[in-house]
Amino acid sequence: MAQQLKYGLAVVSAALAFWVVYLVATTLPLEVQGVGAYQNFYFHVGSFITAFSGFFLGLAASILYLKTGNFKYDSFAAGVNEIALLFATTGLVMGSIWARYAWGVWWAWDARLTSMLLCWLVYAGYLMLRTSVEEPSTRARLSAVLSIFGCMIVLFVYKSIDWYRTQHPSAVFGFRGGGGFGPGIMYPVLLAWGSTLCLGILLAMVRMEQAEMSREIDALRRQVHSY
Amino acid sequence: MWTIAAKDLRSEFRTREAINASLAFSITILVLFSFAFDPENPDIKIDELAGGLLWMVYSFAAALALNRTFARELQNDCLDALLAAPIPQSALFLGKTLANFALLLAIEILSLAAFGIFYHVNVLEHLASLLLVIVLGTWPMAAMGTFFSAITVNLRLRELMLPVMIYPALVPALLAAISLTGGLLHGDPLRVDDGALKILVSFDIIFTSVAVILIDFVLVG
Amino acid sequence: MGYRELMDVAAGFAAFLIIILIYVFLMDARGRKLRKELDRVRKMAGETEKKG
Repeated sequence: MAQQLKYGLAVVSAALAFWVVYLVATTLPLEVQGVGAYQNFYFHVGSFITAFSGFFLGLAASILYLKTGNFKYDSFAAGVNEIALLFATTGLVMGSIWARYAWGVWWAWDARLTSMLLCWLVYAGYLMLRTSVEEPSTRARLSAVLSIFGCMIVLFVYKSIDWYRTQHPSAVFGFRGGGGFGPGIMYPVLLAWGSTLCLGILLAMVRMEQAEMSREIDALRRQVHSY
Repeated sequence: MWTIAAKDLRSEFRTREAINASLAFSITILVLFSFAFDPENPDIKIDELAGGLLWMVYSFAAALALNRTFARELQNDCLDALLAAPIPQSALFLGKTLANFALLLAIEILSLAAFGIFYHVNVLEHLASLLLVIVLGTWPMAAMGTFFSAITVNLRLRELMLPVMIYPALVPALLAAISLTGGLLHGDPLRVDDGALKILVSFDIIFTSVAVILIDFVLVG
Repeated sequence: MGYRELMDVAAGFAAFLIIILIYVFLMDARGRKLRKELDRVRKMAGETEKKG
């Protein structure tokens, strides 16, 4: 059942991705709001929305873990946060390539870029914390705390953007209520989001199984040593 | 809470190891900065860089000093004893934070004086506002530092993990403190409706409360 | 679509695919290692139980 679900997700993800590429190649405009080379935009934004969905799911799972102490939630948080970090990476790299075209530089110390990079660093620290704690319940507890804390930090950083200048095109989903994109642009963004989300769920499922497996290894080792 | 703070400060006063090491370290960094750019070059507006330099020194010194917050309780199983004591974890956390706060303030005020002398920056012009900004910026460093050193105390690579986790977490506070300090050293008075000041104060309040709530899950006996 | 735009778009998609593929490759390697280790430990646990 789980295996079929994975194949299904892969097929849906690939189909949606090809749909977006087809739209990009045929109908979509080259420029939006006077910014050129917009074809990368769909997967760039799709990646970030998937990443943030992942971080919030990770936050929810971490809170549930601290409430219940069920290791299922810990594996879930580990998988989801790692995949979210992966999509944050693709989003950042694609954005960087786009910035080289549009702004002439690979990186600009713009508020939104900076806060995204910080978010990346916070969750990279989360993964490092996971690898450096041996004891499973301590690892689960500490990384759940860090996941909750990291989420708060990212939200705070994002909120404090309002006080600083930004040269980044306005956010698609902003706290100030919507970006300036018409439905013709939103539609492929949603498709790309669907594609990355399916791929993300697939990868997170595999990652979760691995987390469970490594916990089982750990338990068996303990059992062997206790004889 | 006060007992914990007093205990930590007393043991610090007996040895003075953290304060001496951090102070020497921050002065070393101040000297190193003079090689990064030429302080005698009139084209470089030192008072525009000053806020950033000062807070870099502070945050480096803080990471050095805060590593030991919980690590020094590992000897003789003092940490287990503290956790078994009939006080809430949040009191332990706040006590440790207060002690670190006092320690960092002492280091910072001394290195502020050294900074003023070395880089010909007038630190006295808005001294009261400057001290207020330093207090507001040091509190999150102490609180976050104590919180993360509680997380990292039992890790391998403790000394490496603390800076990796603490700097991203401190960025909003540091950013606001740098911009406020830069303004003050540039000669502009502090305004109450400054956005950076609001960020700093709200960061202090929000993240101290979050840390107090979450510390129960970090320090488990 | 001009040459530069084409290169830019291609580079963006390629970067996306490469990152995902590298990750999948690493995850697959880790999965194999874990599965091998799990088999080994299971066998070990089985043996100790028999002796036990």
